[in-house]
Parts: sequence; structure tokens; C-alpha cells
Amino acid sequence: MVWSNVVSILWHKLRGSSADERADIPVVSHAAPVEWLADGPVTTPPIDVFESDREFVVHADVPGATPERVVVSCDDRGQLSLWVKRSSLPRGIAYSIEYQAQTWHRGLTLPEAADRRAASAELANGVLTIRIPKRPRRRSGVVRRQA
Amino acid sequence: MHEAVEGAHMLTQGTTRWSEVGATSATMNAVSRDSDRWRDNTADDDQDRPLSFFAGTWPRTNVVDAGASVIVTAEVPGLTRDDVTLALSGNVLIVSGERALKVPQSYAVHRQERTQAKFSRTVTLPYEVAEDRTSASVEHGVLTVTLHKAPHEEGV
Repeated sequence: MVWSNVVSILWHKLRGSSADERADIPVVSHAAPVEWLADGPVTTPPIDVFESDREFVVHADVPGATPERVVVSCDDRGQLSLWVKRSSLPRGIAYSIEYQAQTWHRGLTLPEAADRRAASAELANGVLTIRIPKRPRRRSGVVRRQA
Repeated sequence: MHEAVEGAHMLTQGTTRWSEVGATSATMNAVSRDSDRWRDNTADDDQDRPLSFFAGTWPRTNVVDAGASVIVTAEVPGLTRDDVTLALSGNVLIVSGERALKVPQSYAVHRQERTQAKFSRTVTLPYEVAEDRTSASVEHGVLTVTLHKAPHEEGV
């Protein structure tokens, strides 16, 4: 291969868009319906989990996901779960296939400090971000043993 | 034509596991970084985050010949078109760029599985393509490059 004639493609010369799409995802109190399981293999998406003084943040990589195919749920026991479905491939002759249509699922147990009903979720550029604020600290939370 | 794709799915079922291997490697990287941090006492320094050693398999890329065009798609969650560089020479397409994930300040890390990598993937196309008829987009974290046959390849 002679690389003297390599053409670097500049994006502004190309046709096509790059929408910086950002969509709010409702956080429901019940998990995804069972029929979501029926279509394609279920795998775990890679996640990052961060914590600050005020909140917990979960980022999940779900490339190809669109907002209407994402379910985020958080029940009263603090079980957070996410279900994401990705649709199928373009039709044609497959030269090389490294990924396919699939369902992603991940479940997490939230700590006591998390305010389960205040969780919010957002999907942007194939990354699902879930934020769970912390409850304000209560003074009565400290139990002193009587001497 | 459709059957070929279905068959390829069955053959490559195993490759989806790479994401889990990559995730494990990211966790190992995080562990080794944390121990380095402890040793060097360089807290909050993201510069020394090791890049994934699975960079050669990231992003996962599909190549599908749709008849009139060949479509290359790659999983690039969180990236926009400014983060991806495309280079074309004859029937070879190179997708490269960098995905750097910063931990926001004053946040503690519990899990860090997402791949961060300087990446470069070389894709051999089934035929030479016309550069001026190429289009590309990044949507929902997926890069899609649509390429058409070069004039001298038409009718071959």
C-alpha cells in the first residue's frame, strides 16, 4: 500500500449531519416489560459510576440507542435498572460484523443516601446518563448508645 | 443477501463479548491507576490515565455492502464528528481519533468500565471508492460512512 495519495477527509466537505441530540428519559417505578428480552442477545453495557457530595452519576455506553427504546426504572427498594434496545443493521452483504442488534441491561442497587424518587436520566450521543441526588442529611440519623 | 447478514450474526455472536473483556481491562486499568496514584501521591491527575490496550478493537466496526454503496458503521458513544478523523486511499478507509473520559472534579470514582482510547481502525473496502461521493455522519453515538464505487469500478 502506497500512502502518498492518502486523502484526509474534512468533515465540512462531507455531506451528512452530526446532530448533538439530547433527550430526557423518564425514570419509571417499574422495570421494562418482559417482551424486551425476546429480541436478540442481552449484554451488559460498560458503565462509569461517580459520586459527589450532592449526587450519584451513572454513565452507560449505549451507541445507536434512540430515546424511545430506553427504559430506566428505579423502585422503592432502590433497585435501579436500565434497558436499552438497539435496532438492526443495514441490509446487504456482510463483509465484517463486529456488533449487532441487541438489548443492553444493567441493574444497580442504590445506597441509602440516594433519593430514589428524584432520579433523572438523559440520553445524548449514545451515552445514557442517570443522576440520583442525595437526600439531605438528617441529624436524627445518628444513634447514640446510652451509657 | 439478507441471509448473509443473518449468518454473519451467528458467526460473530462471540465478538459481542469483547465489550466485556474491554470493560474488564478498563477496570484493571483503573485499579493499576489507583495504585499508581497511591504510590506517586498524584491525586486528581487525569494525565496518567492509561489508554486501553484494546484500542485496536475499539470502536467495533461493521462493513456492509448494500449494493449501490458500502456502509461502514462504528460505535463511538459520546463522540461527535469533531472527535473523529477519516482518511481514504483507494479501497482503504482509516477511522481514527481519541476518546478521553474525564472524571469531573470533586467526584469519587466507584466504577470505571467505559473504554477510553486513542484509536485507529483500518477498514479494507470491497472496491475502490469515489472520494467526492462519500458522506458521513455521527448520530446517537454511531459513525456511519457511506461510500460509492469509483467510476472505473462501475460495472465490474
